[in-house]
Amino acid sequence: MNQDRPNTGECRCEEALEHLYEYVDSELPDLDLVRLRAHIDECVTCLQAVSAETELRVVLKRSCAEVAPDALRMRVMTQLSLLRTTTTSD
Amino acid sequence: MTENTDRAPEDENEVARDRRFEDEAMPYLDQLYGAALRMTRNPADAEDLVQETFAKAYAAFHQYKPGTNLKAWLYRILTNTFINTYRKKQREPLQSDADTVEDWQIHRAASHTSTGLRSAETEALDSLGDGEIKDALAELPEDFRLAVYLADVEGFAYKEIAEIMETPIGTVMSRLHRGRAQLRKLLAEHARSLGMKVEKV
Repeated sequence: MNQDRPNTGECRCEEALEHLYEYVDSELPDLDLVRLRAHIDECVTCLQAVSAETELRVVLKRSCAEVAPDALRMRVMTQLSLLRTTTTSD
Repeated sequence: MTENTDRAPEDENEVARDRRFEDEAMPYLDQLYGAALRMTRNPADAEDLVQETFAKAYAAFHQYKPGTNLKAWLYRILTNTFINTYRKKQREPLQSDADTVEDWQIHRAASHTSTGLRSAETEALDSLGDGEIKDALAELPEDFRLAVYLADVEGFAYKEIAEIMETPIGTVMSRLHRGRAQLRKLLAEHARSLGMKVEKV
């Protein structure tokens, strides 16, 4: 977070929303995290913003979960044994 | 064949290392395929990309330090292979980070209020199918799409994404910020086009 921003004192919506992603991403330094969390726990608007971000991630993870086709698994395994043979026969 | 002592762990023979590769790297096949699908946006290229990634990872496995983040190491190979091979093949123009990181930092405070998800949008999200979510992700510019995928789906830290994409952390944050904002806009549009009631963004 910016060096020029005061790290003490109460956190307000403006600051919490500005650093919303870093908060949800668990990328805030401890001191800022404590201040933001104290505000977010008390503020309905900010809490909703955090829930919305969290919810979107759940949906994205669910949608993007894939199972590799069996054919690909076979290809990779076959390739590995071929590479192994090549290496050991050197 | 002489014993090569610069491999890690030092006392490991090739058979043991091969087995370790299979035991440790193969469980990431599904995840890597999922990432490859989001990168290439088609199953045939995704399969080729994953196969190439495993071949490269196998060849370089002696450079991997046991106990460090294998997942991040594999994703770095996947991403590199994609950028060097498939980006050219797909003829997608290189994404320029047109705005500087500084521009983004100045504007992010203002943009959050307009791009943040409203509760109505969150509800609409639940009604969108996996296909629509993936379509929206596929519409993002490549660098944004990758950053958002690595952070939101795979849960990598900024520092790890910076290493995987070989870019400074500030650029990662900028891509994430803009990519997420675009994704939210697209999802709201998709939901609206399906006739769902969504607050105007």
